[in-house]
Amino acid sequence: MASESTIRQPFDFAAEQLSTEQRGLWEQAFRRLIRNRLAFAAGLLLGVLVILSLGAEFLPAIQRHDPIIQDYGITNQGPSMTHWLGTDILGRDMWARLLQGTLFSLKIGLGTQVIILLIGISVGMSAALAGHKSDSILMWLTDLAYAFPDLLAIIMMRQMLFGRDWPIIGKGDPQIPGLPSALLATILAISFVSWVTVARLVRGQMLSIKEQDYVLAARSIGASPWRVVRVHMLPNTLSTVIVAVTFGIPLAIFAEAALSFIGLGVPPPDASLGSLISDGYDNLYSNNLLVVWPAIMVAVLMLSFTFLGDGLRDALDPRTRK
Amino acid sequence: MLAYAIRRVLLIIPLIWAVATITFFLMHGIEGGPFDSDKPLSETARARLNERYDLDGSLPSQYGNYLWNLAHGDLGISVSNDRDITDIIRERLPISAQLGICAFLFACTFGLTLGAVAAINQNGVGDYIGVFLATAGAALPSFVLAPLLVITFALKLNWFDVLGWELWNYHKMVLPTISLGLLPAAFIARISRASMLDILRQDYIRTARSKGLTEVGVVVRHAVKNALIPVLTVLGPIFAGLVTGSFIVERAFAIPGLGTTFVNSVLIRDYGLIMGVTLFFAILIAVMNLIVDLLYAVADPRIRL
Amino acid sequence: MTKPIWRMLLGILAVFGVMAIAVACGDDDDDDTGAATNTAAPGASPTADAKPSGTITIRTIQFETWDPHFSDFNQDIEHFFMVWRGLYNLDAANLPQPAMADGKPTVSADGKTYTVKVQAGLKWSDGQPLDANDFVLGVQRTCNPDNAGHYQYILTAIVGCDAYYAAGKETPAKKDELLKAVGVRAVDATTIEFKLTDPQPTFPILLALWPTFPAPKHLLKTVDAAWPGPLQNVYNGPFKPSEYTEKDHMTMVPNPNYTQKEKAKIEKLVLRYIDDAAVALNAYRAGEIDATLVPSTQLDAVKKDAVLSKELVSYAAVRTTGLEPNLKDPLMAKLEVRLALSQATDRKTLNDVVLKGANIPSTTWMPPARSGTNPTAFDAAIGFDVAKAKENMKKAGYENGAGFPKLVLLQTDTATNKAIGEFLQAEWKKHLGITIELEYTDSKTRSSRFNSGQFQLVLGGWGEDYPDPENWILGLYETGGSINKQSCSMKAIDDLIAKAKYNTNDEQRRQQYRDVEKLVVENICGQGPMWQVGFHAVVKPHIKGMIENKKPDDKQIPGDLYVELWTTSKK
Repeated sequence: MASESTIRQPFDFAAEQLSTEQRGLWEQAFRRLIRNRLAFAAGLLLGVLVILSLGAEFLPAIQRHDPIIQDYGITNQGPSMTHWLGTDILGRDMWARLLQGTLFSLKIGLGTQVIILLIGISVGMSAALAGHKSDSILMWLTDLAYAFPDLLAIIMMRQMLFGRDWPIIGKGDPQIPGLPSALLATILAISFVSWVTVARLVRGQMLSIKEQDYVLAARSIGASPWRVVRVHMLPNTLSTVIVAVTFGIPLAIFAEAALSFIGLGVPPPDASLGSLISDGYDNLYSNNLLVVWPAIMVAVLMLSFTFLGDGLRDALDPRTRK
Repeated sequence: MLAYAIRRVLLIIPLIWAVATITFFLMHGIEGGPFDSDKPLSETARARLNERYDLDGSLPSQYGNYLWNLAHGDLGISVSNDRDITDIIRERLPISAQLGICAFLFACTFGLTLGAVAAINQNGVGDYIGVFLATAGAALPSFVLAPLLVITFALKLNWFDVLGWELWNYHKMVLPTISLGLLPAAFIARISRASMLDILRQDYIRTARSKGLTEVGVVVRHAVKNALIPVLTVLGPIFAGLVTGSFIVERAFAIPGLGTTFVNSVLIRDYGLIMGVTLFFAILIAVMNLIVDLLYAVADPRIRL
Repeated sequence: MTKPIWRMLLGILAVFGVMAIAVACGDDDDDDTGAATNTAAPGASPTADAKPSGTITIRTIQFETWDPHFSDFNQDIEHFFMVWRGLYNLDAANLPQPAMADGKPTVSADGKTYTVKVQAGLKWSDGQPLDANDFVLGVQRTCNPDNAGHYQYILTAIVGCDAYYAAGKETPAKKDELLKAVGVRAVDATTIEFKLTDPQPTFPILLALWPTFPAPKHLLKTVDAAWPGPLQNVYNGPFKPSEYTEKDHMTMVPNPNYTQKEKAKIEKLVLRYIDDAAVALNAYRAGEIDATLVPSTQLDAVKKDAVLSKELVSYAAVRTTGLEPNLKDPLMAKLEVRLALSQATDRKTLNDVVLKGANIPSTTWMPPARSGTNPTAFDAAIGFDVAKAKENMKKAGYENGAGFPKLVLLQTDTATNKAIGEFLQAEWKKHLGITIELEYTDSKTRSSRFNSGQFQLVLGGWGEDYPDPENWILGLYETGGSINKQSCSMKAIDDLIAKAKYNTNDEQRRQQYRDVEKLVVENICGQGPMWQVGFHAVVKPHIKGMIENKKPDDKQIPGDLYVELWTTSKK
């Protein structure tokens, strides 16, 4: 990226040695990110939420009450000193449930994005760079994945994963620590149909970047194709990809919520933000706080990821320095 | 480009075959059949029903039959109500399509405007308001958003109807359109903001500015068209997704569209209907994506297909 | 360019603002809606026998099939009774009263031959004559193997019906032969004769149900001909469809050729198809529909609402829910474990807390409307009693839950079921020291596992098909019963059922079924009853005839089996 910048924007970067360029780029990016107050605040808030929800798993002091302990004497209470966010229809503490739900939803959001990025970037990149035939075939594959009946897939996967012993992924449930089978099925099923958008975004950006002057220039001075991709093309597709990913996290959380709504969400007594909202929706008229808390949490997560994502993309783009 | 288009169109045939094959074996692989109801049926009744709907043969022979009929354009009948699947799709599609197109137009207008405003005022008030609106709009899943809109605008304010969809009747159009279009609007806003920012920093924009063009002139004449490319990528799938209907919005307003039809067909294991709707989606998506790819080449002459 | 954008942004902000405020004020101004919708003056009572007037719009669910000789879905049956009628119709006390028939049936001395006179001069809605042959064709269609009716089994007593139904793979000639052997024939245009294999005391009831409804011989060339759709078919009930959009709505108007005493009293009946009951309730609040079911999740909100609470009607339905253990499972085969689980279940708290008081906690299987038994009759045997539950666990060898093997409760994934599962899991942990696993699947997966016996414990139940105790027992609890999926098998039960099945002494027969119930429940032989399901609906005050004619076996709306009695004062 620096070589491109030196050609086109000589004042942005001093001529640095190639070996230190990358670190320089990331360092600069990090510094710029910190300077963007909103993005920094969003990042900080996210950090706090992650620590809180992770901590709640292990430290009773954070979650204060057991999220699955029921007390029928105190159902549907409003916020109080003992129950900060009130209690639900079974008299469970909403603060503890909310933290548990946040952790589950973060797992879903991040888990899907990891898979989506892995598949999406490799397919999108190969499609853009590997010539017409493979482009057609890969785009054909994305069409196939998009048309893939995800509902059938998720019912199928739940069936295969729940309580079954599998030779590779282990016995019992959860087969992977921290990922109960229904959660794993949800993550896989959501990723299977969502990587397509990222793949097509990457392909579109790459096709357009491929013909940009600086890439042509880099190629003409004899840079290896892999280097051109790694140094010039990939970073320049990052901005759109980051936006797609930061949006993808809440989108995945919603997708899971919609699955809970149809009856294919995480199994109780565990909770995700989606299942909390979907259960709370049933009690919208009698205790609307049950929807309000998880909805606020989703909104906060979404805003934080948005601002952090925008900050990140601004920081990574050398041309946006203010 | 013509050769490219023809190649892609020809690839739709193996796509249909692949989707049909995967769906066929997937749906027969999952537990539960159309005749597994809460109230169990006797074995005789089950045998009769399997005969009536030609589900009594071996799976490969059923698969062969299905492909044979499909090649003749026959999608078969629905196990749940004996109707021709082609008829069901033909009846439900226009409703979902009307709603989907309205939601799509709403999402595009609202999303692109927000995105452009946010990008022009980067880190300014307009940006924050834009991003906030885009996020707030998408912070509630549609199955909560829809009832909230109903409670507010239909029950408290009495502006709109609770039930149904009717083209050109705004009482029945506004709420479903917003419920369906808000999330894609937010997505479009985010993507278009990012892409606008990219473009606004390109050299030719600087050149345009230095020529003395007004900011509006710069944006309209140079930035918008180029910023549309990444947006176009997502518009294809978004359009396909909206037009094929949404289970949740259709359910929330009791609209008889394709979205509820598909989800229900899966939940009740209506094999023929699952196949029919999935194949229809596959074709629609393939065509949409092809159009988007061709539009790419039009929007950006440097892209060589 | 920028100015309109700002104006638009402001507009959108305003919309969000209004929404936020209105939602925030949530509960305070609920009265608004009520005031807006409750404009109809109640006082004006409708005059009897006047020209039909007014429109009633009700919420129901899209029917699956329009064919009464095929279907057994609740909402389908509701539709059937609006447009067709059988030889008899059940009155409020569930006694068959002549409808298309002329007087009561005559029964032969051996109880195996029923002769029914059909009223002369009956017509279908298209004006074509309706006679004994149409009724014969109806019964033949239900027994027809190619039509594959779900409900053929209730006509199993008719000679040859089973044999014909079983002949799915026979040649057409053989099928024809078997059809001729089915024990129903038109002696002449107004006389039908039914031949039964055994004397069946409940047979007249079956002549009031949809599997014996007439089939128009002038539209159907053969017994297996396709059943015409709603707008192509002909009708002999109080209403007939005039307009129909699948999944959206059906409009019905009075059938001019309906000759019974009580004719339709409204001009138009609109059935609005709404899947989600919560959506339907909002439409009711907005005045877009006049009657709907109340989902149990909104029951407390409706009871608190000043207007809706007055329009709410609640009564017991003929549906029972219970814990259904699979007796083939080694753990569930232990009587003490089954008893312990039932005795560790606080049905009252479950109903009050989780189910918002929607149902009637019970330990009986048959609803009181059928058996006359008090719902708490078996509390001493299987009701909530922690001490007894612990004692039973100890007897089974799992004192305080020690060494208790894996137990999975299988349920359909709904918000209510989740809460029930969580409740049971927590209660059983508290009282018995065991941790059960909860598995939630979609409804078809659950049914498939249940039907194939691949389960340990499910939450299940029964909804009545026809109003007689035998419907709660036959096929369900005898060894090898066709729908005995829990594998209940006790000789005492088998013996009692064999005695009761063809017993023509009504009181004795009913007592025998009550004895079977006692055996089933006390041994939790595949059934540990938990509650009788409550039926809750709201009906606008301008409607008369719905609530007045409500029955425990109503389908979707109070009084929907007597649609001809509905009136409205709203013009």
